[in-house]
Amino acid sequence: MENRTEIGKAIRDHLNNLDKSPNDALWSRIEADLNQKRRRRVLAWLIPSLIAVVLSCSLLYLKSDFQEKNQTQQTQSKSEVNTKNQTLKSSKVPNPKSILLKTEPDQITTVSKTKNVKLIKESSKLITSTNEYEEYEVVKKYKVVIRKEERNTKPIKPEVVKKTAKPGFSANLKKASKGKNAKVDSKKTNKNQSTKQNKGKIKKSPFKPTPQKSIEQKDTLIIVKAETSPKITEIKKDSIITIDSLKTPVKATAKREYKKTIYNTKTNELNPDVSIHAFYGPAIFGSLNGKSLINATMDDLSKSHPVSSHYGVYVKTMFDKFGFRAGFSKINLKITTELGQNLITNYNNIDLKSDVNIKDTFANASDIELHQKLSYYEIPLAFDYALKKDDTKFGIDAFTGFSFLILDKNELYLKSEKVEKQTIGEAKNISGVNISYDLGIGFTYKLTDKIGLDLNPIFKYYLNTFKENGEAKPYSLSLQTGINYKF
Amino acid sequence: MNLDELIKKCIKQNRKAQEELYQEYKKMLYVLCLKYCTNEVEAEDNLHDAFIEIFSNIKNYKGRGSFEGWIKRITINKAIARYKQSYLLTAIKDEYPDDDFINENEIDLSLDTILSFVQELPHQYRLVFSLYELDDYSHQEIAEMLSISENTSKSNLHRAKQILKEKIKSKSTFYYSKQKNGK
Repeated sequence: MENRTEIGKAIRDHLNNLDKSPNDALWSRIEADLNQKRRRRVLAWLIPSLIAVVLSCSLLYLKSDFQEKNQTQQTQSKSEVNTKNQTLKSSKVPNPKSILLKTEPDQITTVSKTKNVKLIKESSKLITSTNEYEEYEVVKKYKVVIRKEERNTKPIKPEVVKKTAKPGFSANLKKASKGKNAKVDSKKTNKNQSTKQNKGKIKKSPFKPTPQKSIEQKDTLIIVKAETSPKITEIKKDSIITIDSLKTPVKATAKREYKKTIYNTKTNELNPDVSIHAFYGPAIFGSLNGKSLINATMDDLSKSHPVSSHYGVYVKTMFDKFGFRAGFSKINLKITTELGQNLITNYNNIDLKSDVNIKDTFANASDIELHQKLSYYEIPLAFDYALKKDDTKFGIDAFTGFSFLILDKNELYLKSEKVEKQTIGEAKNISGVNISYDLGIGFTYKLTDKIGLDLNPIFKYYLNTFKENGEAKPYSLSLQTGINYKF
Repeated sequence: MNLDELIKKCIKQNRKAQEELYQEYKKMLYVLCLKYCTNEVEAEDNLHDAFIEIFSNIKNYKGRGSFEGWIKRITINKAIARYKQSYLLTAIKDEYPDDDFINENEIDLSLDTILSFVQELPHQYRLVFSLYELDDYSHQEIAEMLSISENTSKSNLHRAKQILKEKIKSKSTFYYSKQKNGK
């Protein structure tokens, strides 16, 4: 009688003796993937950290730049304040309880104050010396405390300033103040600021020298140089004969114009151009090395790149030629793998839906396509450089940066001639958070001063698409077309 | 280096320790992969994926149960994921005749031949057969792992055995007839 044995047990007993080893090269593959994974992990931390550092540095730089510019402006304003203050004093409108903060051609703001102007440091440097004049650069540092309570006064005409321009000519100015300008000054006197007592004092001694006044007068000289205008010249001719006779203001006038130009440029730099942009455009998605995003068995199959969409908004802030942009958008990415008449041979990295019957649905199909669709919410951050920014309507800028992407949709579906769409599941190897490196060029066309059109081709290289292994190098190309509004 | 030290170093991503661990378990896991996969190439791919997952998740091994059991489970799960699409979702309405026995002399075949018979089984049958017969999982556990019913698991196992029996019989018949003709 033959011995009978249960087939499962028999096979198990035999296979227990199986002794086989994998290929020696397998450890190298594992090691390479572990290294790649480590790099990716480091990159995932490094990139956001770098971006944060760069953004922080940029903000700090811009902030310090602002402060510096504000200080410069304040110093100039301060000088002008002193000039104007001195002007008021010399023109019999002294008001020790007020200070002028802002001088524009047609508007002066007087700020009621607890005046506390303290000279901290002063230095002067000879810049040029000719037979006719010597030019000094006087640098002064003040500590100013001003109580914030503003009120506007009537504009003061430049001739008032001019009268005080030359501190060394007090005798001449005294004469002048007794003439036409005395009338002008009395018109400009603010009722709230002037008192009879003050007027009286000034009439008696309008240019009573004090140490502080002499400093202010030096300062006045610089500022007056900065306030060059045809009006001043005319008034000067009318009112201050002595100044004309000395001929020094002619030399000073050229210098004044130069300083005023610098001041205006700085003022413009302080105001960044902020604009908001809305866009919608086509996008295509693929792999730079042609490998499949799903698994290696599909690497050699032909792929196509259906057009999908990219839309959103961003805000662009430009400081002269440099700036940055940040926004929120959605990008839909699609890639198609041509399976032909073969079904998927390897379902590694595919999380199949439980109720799908692929074999029956696509039994006799000969043109099966596997579509992969990924949708991301995107937060782009990019640095911008204006390549062409002038008075014409057309502008060009280049930008580069990173986008943080959050996966919204991850879908795999099959299509054939007969079956329009059969969703089969999703790719398991796709990471929920992705980062892309962005590089783009922006073309703008101004329709009006406020509104313009945009055309931005963008290349994106995705750095963290896969959870683990992924040999594909995903990228996308999109064309942002839209409209912008400048604030 | 003992296992605990090895695991601790692997948690710190020490490459030498990882290699040592790989060398220690590669044979056992490779043989396991061979039983669950259809050929050596797929078995190697599965082993590769399994080791990557083992090294990535080794910090999650808390020492409950044997380490060997833990890494075997990861390797089997990888294989299941690989062939998951091919599950038969309905039970086969077969009677289960008690004829899963075979003469001992009939199975006197080479290991490679027997392994190839297992590997040639349809995916769902092979997974259930390997889990139940070779790795001692119960039908209830198999049902949970493969997201199928226990009846489906039982019917798949029975069908797998029938296919194996036919293959073994045909092979041994061919072998004995060849031996007879040779004499």
